Amino acid sequence: MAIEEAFNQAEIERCGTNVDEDDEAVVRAMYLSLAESEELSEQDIAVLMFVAGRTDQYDRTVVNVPMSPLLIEHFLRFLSEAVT
Amino acid sequence: MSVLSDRTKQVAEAMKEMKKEWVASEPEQTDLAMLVHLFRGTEPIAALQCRLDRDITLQACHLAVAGMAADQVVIGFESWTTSHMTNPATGKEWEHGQMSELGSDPEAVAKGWVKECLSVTGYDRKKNSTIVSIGYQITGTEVVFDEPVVMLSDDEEESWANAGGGYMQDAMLHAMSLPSVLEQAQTMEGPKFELMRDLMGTLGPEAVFFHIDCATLRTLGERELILGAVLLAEVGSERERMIEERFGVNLN
Repeated sequence: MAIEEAFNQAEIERCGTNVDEDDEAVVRAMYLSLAESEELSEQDIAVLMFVAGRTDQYDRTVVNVPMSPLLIEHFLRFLSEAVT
Repeated sequence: MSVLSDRTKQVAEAMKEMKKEWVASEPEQTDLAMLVHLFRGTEPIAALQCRLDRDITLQACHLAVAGMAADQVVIGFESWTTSHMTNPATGKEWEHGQMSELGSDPEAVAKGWVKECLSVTGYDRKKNSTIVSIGYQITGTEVVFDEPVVMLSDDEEESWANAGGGYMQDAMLHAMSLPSVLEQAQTMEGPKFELMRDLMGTLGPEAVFFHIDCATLRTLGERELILGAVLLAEVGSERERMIEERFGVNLN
């Protein structure tokens, strides 16, 4: 299943998770860092647990964050400065 | 020759020159940093310098492609190549990571089983990909390059992408398939995105692209995904003027 399809909650529940309890805290902390956020929604957690089994060459967890909140903040500020 | 393969070859030639100059300067570490070139439409828009870390660079590419609405991306990095169809150490087909593993074995390198190379890979939003691989050998402060090996996914005779694959290609083709931040912003709900759309409507498209490029670079820097970056513009263009106004420098 492609990662983007994992955003379908029903599909996630059907496939189950591939992260054990020991990994979960690490994965949650990493996702919060990447998403520049302080809390996870239920949907975030479901998606996260599905994709977190994918690891990179150093066994670091790969998590796709579709839109960077930090980037949005900077963009909005730059636009506002340009208009005023 | 497609635009993508043309650009990939141009970046490969530029990396060869950088490599020559870098080795001639007698550095302790002769490897180049990873380099990322981004293109939007027909224009080069930015070049990023990343650490020698494939996965950090892929994260940077992911964010940069979405943020800058890049249509093409070309990534240059140090790698290993071989002329052996199978792994001489195992007698079996090559598996992921085995070339770099042999690269750390002086005996395997001396036997010519693997050789250092510059790899330059290009990707676009039409799922095309190109790889240029240039083997080289360093003798003292000089670099001797082999003839480039070019593999094109959009060339019927030299199909690579469909048969090759690999982690980096998968990650980049996935990144190139995602909508840009500007596209996503058009449909996002909430006062923040409504304000954003109003402001974008007030400014022209060139200014919007310039500000999203700047916001992307700022984010890449703050998240420590890049070592440095250069914004690119045509001489005499509105974009060049905006770069000069914002940063006060012009390296043309």
